[in-house]
Order: sequence, then structure tokens, then C-alpha cells
Amino acid sequence: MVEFRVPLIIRGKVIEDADLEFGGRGGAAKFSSPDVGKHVGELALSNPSRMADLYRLTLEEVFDYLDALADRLSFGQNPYLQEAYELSCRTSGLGPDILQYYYRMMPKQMASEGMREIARHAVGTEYLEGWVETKLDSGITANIRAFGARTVHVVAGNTPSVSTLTIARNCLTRGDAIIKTPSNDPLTAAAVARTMIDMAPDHPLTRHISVGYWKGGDTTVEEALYQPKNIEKIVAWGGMASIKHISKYIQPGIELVTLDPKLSSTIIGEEAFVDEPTMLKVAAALARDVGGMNQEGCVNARVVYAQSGTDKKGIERLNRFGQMVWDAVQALPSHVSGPAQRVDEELQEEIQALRLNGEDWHKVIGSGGKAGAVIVSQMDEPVDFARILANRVVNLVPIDDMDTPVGAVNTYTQTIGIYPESLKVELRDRLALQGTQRLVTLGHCLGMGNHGIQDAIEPLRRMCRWIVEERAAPGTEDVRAPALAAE
Amino acid sequence: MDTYSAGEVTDNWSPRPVDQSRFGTDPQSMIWQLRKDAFAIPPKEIAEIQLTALRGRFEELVQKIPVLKRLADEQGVTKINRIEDGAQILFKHSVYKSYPFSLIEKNRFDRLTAWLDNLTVYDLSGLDASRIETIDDWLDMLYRDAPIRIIHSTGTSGKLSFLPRGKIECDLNSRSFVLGFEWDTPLEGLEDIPMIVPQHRHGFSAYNAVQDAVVKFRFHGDESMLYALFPGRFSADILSLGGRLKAAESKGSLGRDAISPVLLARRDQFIKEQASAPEQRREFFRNITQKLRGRRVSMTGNWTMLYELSVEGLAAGSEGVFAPDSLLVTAGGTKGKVLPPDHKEVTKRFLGIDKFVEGYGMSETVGGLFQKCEHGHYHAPPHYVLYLLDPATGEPYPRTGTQTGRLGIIDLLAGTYWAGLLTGDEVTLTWDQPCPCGRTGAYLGSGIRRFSEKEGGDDKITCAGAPEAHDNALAFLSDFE
Repeated sequence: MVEFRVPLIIRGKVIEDADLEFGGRGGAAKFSSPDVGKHVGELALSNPSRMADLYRLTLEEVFDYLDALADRLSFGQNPYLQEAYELSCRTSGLGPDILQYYYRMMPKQMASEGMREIARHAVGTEYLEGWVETKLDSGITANIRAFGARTVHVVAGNTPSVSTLTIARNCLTRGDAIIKTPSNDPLTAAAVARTMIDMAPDHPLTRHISVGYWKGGDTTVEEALYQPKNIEKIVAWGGMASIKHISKYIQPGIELVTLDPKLSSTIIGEEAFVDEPTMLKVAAALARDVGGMNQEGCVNARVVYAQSGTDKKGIERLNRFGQMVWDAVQALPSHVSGPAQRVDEELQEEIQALRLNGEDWHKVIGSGGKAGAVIVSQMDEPVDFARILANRVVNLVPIDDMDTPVGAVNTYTQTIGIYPESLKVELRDRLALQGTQRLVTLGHCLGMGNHGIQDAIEPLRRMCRWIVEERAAPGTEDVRAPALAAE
Repeated sequence: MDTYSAGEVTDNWSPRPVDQSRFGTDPQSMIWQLRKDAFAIPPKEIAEIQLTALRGRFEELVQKIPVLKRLADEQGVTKINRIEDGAQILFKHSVYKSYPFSLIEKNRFDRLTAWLDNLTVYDLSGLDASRIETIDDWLDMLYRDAPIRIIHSTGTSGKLSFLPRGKIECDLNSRSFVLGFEWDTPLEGLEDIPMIVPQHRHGFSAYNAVQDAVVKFRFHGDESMLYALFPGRFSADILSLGGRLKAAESKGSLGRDAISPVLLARRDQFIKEQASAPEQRREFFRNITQKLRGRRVSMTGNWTMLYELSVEGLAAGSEGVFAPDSLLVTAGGTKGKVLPPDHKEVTKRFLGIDKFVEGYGMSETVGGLFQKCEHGHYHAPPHYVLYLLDPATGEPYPRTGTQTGRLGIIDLLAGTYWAGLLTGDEVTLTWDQPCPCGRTGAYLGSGIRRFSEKEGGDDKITCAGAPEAHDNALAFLSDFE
């Protein structure tokens, strides 16, 4: 039985046909959707000049619109968001309390206050507002403006915030967004778009958002849509398979902005082990990074390198610390973290196999399953299955010095939470060179400042088309040969 | 009447007189029973034999295999009271690869041996692996100095599983190979039927174990009766290196220091072998299409191997190369590859073999395949205790009717390691509805699939993930100057 209808929204128009059915994640929810293949012609904005309406707005009007939208995204009042929440409860790896927390955060996420700061730091407000004049040493005057682009956004569904963030970013950069939703969150972006339509059906910002679900890799949709005549950019979040199949459409004329699948880690210096109170404090901070958002994010801690020492005493210290981390994860409030929604069977089998080995190599605290586990390596190496750590399973690895954690960093390392601060400053150049993209105070991996930096790129700047109008240096306008020019 | 038990296995593949009343206490003798008789045991008797044998196996092995002991303790199983108790003590695939991968990278084969010691009844503590630097050498050492023969996995997941099968059980492979062809009379003249090997002759895959048993017992050591596509060795090191390259992507860079110098030194030999592969293939096809043309042969392989071989043979202009009554066993699915719908026809056209014995099985067992009957059912021989589990909860389903779930199996033949396995396969199992083919016992429907395949292809996107790169291990090796 189909329980949810996912609409196709094309620039203010809502299509609610139930042509196709899809099974939600975990086999828990089924949803129907129009056959996007039938509407590709309309979905593509083949004439980019139709974006001109966006440029009749001032940036202040954009911010006003975002504030009005924020008001309408109040979870208690918005039936679209409530429906998206209901569906997400069935498909998401986040439990109901955590999901609700994210839905309730949406007004704040959309409101102009934060978006102004993002505009300022991530792009430059004046470039979003108009042409910015710069005099160059050559005498050339450059007038530069950030224009929006026709962009397909392939969004991730591990948290509903990705959908709202994408819409907010599109408004700010004045693009024409086609949002391809994922099966684990097919409704959130549509819910926001419908709220925009109810609020201001003819507003240019409403008329430049389209949202649809099609199965990633559906060639009838993607081959027709992913053409340079239709789009300039694809912004793709996550999923190795998803990024790989999108990359085959990349050709001259289409730019891929990829927010690759990543994993994050943690480095804890010896200062954490000076006394019990400090160990407890650090364990609580680590628990936030491990368990927040149910470890569904790329920013969450998974492998933790701790300078406990690798001798017998050091391992014993780390085992004690592991128990503290376990206790702290289990004690996280329910809107931050909770039991796993779906237990990863492969991970579960690996944990069981480790336990059956005895404790020579690994000590497993907790049973795994819904509650999670802390795996304390009894040697200075992570478990072989580190890349699938999830369900609030964290691996603590004892180290003597910082060469091991630095060497383990590569281009797929996103965030590293570090304790103490001085160690972060000490290691930041080495870690950056090795490939990491973000270093944070331990316990703060889930917060993201409005600086606009993500995955070592500036996605908002990349979402823009940077246009320059150049005026030749004074006296060089006449390019005829000097003799002719003198006549 | 003579009975045969493990200690008395001699050089034969034929059925032997057995004492059915002793199956419970001597389960390994079950393999020697003529197939017609094995599949005529009434279900009630099968249940009794299995309960007695399982009880005995568990009591015998739980004291000698530490990993089984820990699992049993964890599950609170101290003895087998009911057949259902066995469902609590099935190993998952991960058990056979739960060693830290770094033991291989750091040449700690002594510790790898110690890990393996927890999985077999044999005492491996006296073995000296301290100077070993490659997996191939380790496998050879174990084969030489211990009563075991490792079966390693052939997957590309990055880490090989090592199953310590006893040699005594490997010897049963000469018997298990013919089970699919035998019914009411023993097979005659097998010594004169050459064997085709569509892969490497040597190595420690499950197929290699069958080949070795066949040469040893059927051909009495005569290697010339075996026609292998590649006469050399299927190197576990090369296989593992491919996995290591993949792991390096998510663990940090893999430099020269992570590759054993011994392996690097052997690089030229590997590359040379690879270079001679095309000539070996030509030689192989010359042999099978000329020397063996029209002859009755025996052969085993999975559909992918057989199909790829057949496409190549047909392209070279050969067709119907073997006698129609040749003995061909296929199992093992398609190993993740997608084959065209007509792959069976293409294979038949090239090989010229009328009838394939199709089976379902796994390397963790020794008792041969579940054989597919004319009604499309895979029949479990009575030495296999089956379990069907709820994939979500892991609880066993009742042992009646027809149900779909995750298959668990315990092979009662194995006496040197714990052959109780929770497979990753979704099967439809019929417990008590007799199949029209007349075989007694439980059977599986033909729709067998891996849970991982079922769950794959989903359109979930999250930002958390790590790379799964596939590189050519040899190309990588050859880059080292």
C-alpha cells in the first residue's frame, strides 16, 4: 500500500500523479511519485534568460522572503513538514526525537540572520547584490558579479537539513535549482517548496525551485536533463555510487560540485588522561561527536586516536576511557542521539567476530546492535572494518605519538575533532597537507559555523557563475596601429 | 558389514557399505552411502540421526575450538537438547576473517597462526611461522606441517577468510565431486575420465582442494589427467594485495614499506606469469578442442567461469567439444557478474554437454552440493542440518511448511573444525512437503539470493562513506622500481 505521495514540483507547479511506486528505506514505507521522465522537457530550463526575474529583486527582498518563509516553516503549523517528518521517521537513520529536532530547527536555518552572515563570508554580499568594481594594476577596471546558475542538486537524505540548506543557498545565489531527492528523504525539499508556493506562488524565488524524485541512475531522466543546454552545474552530495554515476554526465559545459562521501575522525592528546575528571570531560565531548545525529553524518567521529600510550598501562587507561565514552554515549539526550533505527548487519557480524577472538586485539564494550559499542583496539591500529562504523560504534585506538593519526588522514577525511586546542593548532598544517578538510574543537563536530567552507571547497561560491565585465585601461581603447590611430 | 569412518578413508570415490544405525555416532560415514539410499531415509529418522550426531559433534568440538566455546558461552548453550539449539551457535562469515589485517602487512604470521589455532581442533602451537613473509608461504607451511589445508576466500572485499579444513575432510572431496552423478549404482571408470579445470591448477581455493583430491585418489597422482587453464598457482598474495590497495584508499597511502620485500622480489615472476597467460589459454584451448575432442570429461566451475570459457571457445570456432555424457557440476552463482539470459545455452553449445548437475553449496562445508532435481529443488543430503532464520531477528523459524528466510547450516561431516554457518543467503525452504522427485528431507527452492544483492541498488544517499577502489594489483606492483 502506498502511504505517501511525493509530488513533482516544477517552478511553482505541483504535479501529484502517482505514476510510479517506490519502496522506502528499510522496506518500511512506500511512496508514489509522478514519472519524472514524462516531464523532463518542462523540468529543464532551456532558456537561461528566464532567470532575469531573479535579478529584479534586491538582496534585501531575498532576505525578507527568507524570513517570511522561516515563519511558515514552523513545524507545529506546517502540514507539509509534518508529513515529511512522518515519512522520514520510517526511512531515516535518525530516531523520531532527533528528526523532530532538525525539523524544528528549520526556521532558524532559513532565517535571514544566518543567511546574511553566510552571504558576507561565503560569497561577499556586494557580489550577490550587483556589479563590484575593482581597479587592476594594468589600469583595467573589472566589474564582477556572482550570478546564479541552472543547477541540479542531488541531495543527501541522512538529515532533512540538507534539503532546506540547499533551498536557502539557491535563494541566496539566485539560481534555478532542480532538486533530486533521495529515497531516504523524498519529501522534505518538496515540503519546503510547497510552503513557498502557498506563501508566494508567483515570486521569482518560488518560481526557480523544482523538486522531484527519480531513482538515481534513471537514464530516461538523467540523459535528457544532464545536458549543457539545460544546466550549468550539478551539486552532488555523498554516496560513492551516486557520485560515480553522475560523473559520467560531466562534459564541457557542465561543472560538478561534489560534496564527496567522507569519514571523520578524532585525535585526543595525552592531556586528556591527566586525571579522572579530565577523562570524564573529554569522554563526554567525544560522545557528542560519536553519537550526535546518531552517527549518520560524515562529520561524526568513528575512529578515535588517543594518546593514552600503547604499553600495558596505556591500554588499561584507554579501556577505562572506553567505558566512560560508552556511558556518555548512552546518556546523550534523546533529541541528540538514540538507539539505532536499523542495525547494520555486516557491522554487527564483524563486532561479534571480534568478541569471539577474545580480548587480545580488541576489547568490545557494549553489545553492538541498537545500543552501539565502543571497540578499544589493544594495539595501535583501527579495526579493519573502520569504514563501515555506524550505529554509534566507535573505535578507540591507542597511540604513543601523532605520526599514526596524521598518516591515517587522507582526502576522504572530512572533519577531525581534536583535544586539546593547542594540539589542534600544532597539527593543523600537517593534517591539512595530508588531506583533511575541517578541524574542530572536540565535541563540536556537528556545529557548522556560517563561514561557507565545506569539504575544502566553498560550495556557495562554486554555485555561482562569476561574471566579469572589463573596461580597458584608459588610453588603450583604440586598438588600431599607432599610425592609423594618430590620423 | 564393513563401515567406514574418517580414519579409514581410502583411495576411492565410490559408495561403500555403511551401517545406517551408526550414522548418529559416526556421521562422517554418511557420505559413503549410495545416494539413492541417502535420499530415502524417512524424515523422522533423519531428524533422529541429526540430533544425535549434532549433540556428539558439539560435545566433541566445543572443548577443542575456543571460538565455538566463546560463542556457545555467549549464547548460553552448554549442550544440544533440541535440534533448534544449533541455530544459536552458527558462525558468521566474519569469524574466518576476524584477524587484524595488519598481521599480514607486518609479517606476523606467527600471530596469524595463533589466531587460526582458535578455529581448529588441531594444536598449531608448535608450528614455526616466524620467518614467513608471504601468505602463500604460510599456506604452504600449514599444508606441509599441520594436518590442515586452508581454504581461503576468493572475494575482493580486501581481506581473505581462512578456513582451517582438516586434510581428512579435504580427502572427502573426491567423493563429494561425484555425488551429483551417482544414483542407484556406483559410477564406473572414473579413472579414465580426464578433468578440465577452467582456472588455476594450484592454490588454496575450494576448487583447488577438489582438484587435489581428484588427482590424489582418482588419478592416483597422474597430473596429466588434469587440464588446467593456468598450470600455475592462484596466489593468495596477489589476491590480497588487490584488497590492500583498496583498503589503502581509506586507511592512508600504501607505500613500498607496506609491501613485503619478498612479495616485491617475486613481482617479476608474477608479471612473467601474467604475460604468459595468453599462451597458456591458447594451449588450453588447443588441448580441449583437439586432444580431448569428443571425449567424456569431468569438470566443475561456476557459471561465470564456464560462460567466459565458452564465449572464447565459440569465438575461436569450436563447438560441441566434449561427449554429451560428460560430467559437469556447476555451483557458486555468477559471483556478482551479470551474465546474459542465454548464458546456459551458450555454455552448452560450446561444451556439447547435455546435462549439467547444478548445485548450491559453500566452502565452509565439506559434504558437497545441494543437488538440483528435475523439479528445480535443491536437496540437502542428510548430513546437513538446516536452519531457517528470521533475517531481522535471527530467531529460527519453525521447522515445518515452506518459508523464506536466512539459511543456516551445520555440516555433520566436519570433525576438525566447526562447520556451522549462518549464510548470507535468502532461501525458500520446504521442510516436510515431499518433492515429486522422491528424495526425502528438506529442500530449497531455486530462488536463492544474497541479502547483500537484495539490499543493493537502493537509492539511499548519505554523505558518510569511504572509497571502494578497484585497482589492478599487478599494475601496482609493476610500478615499483
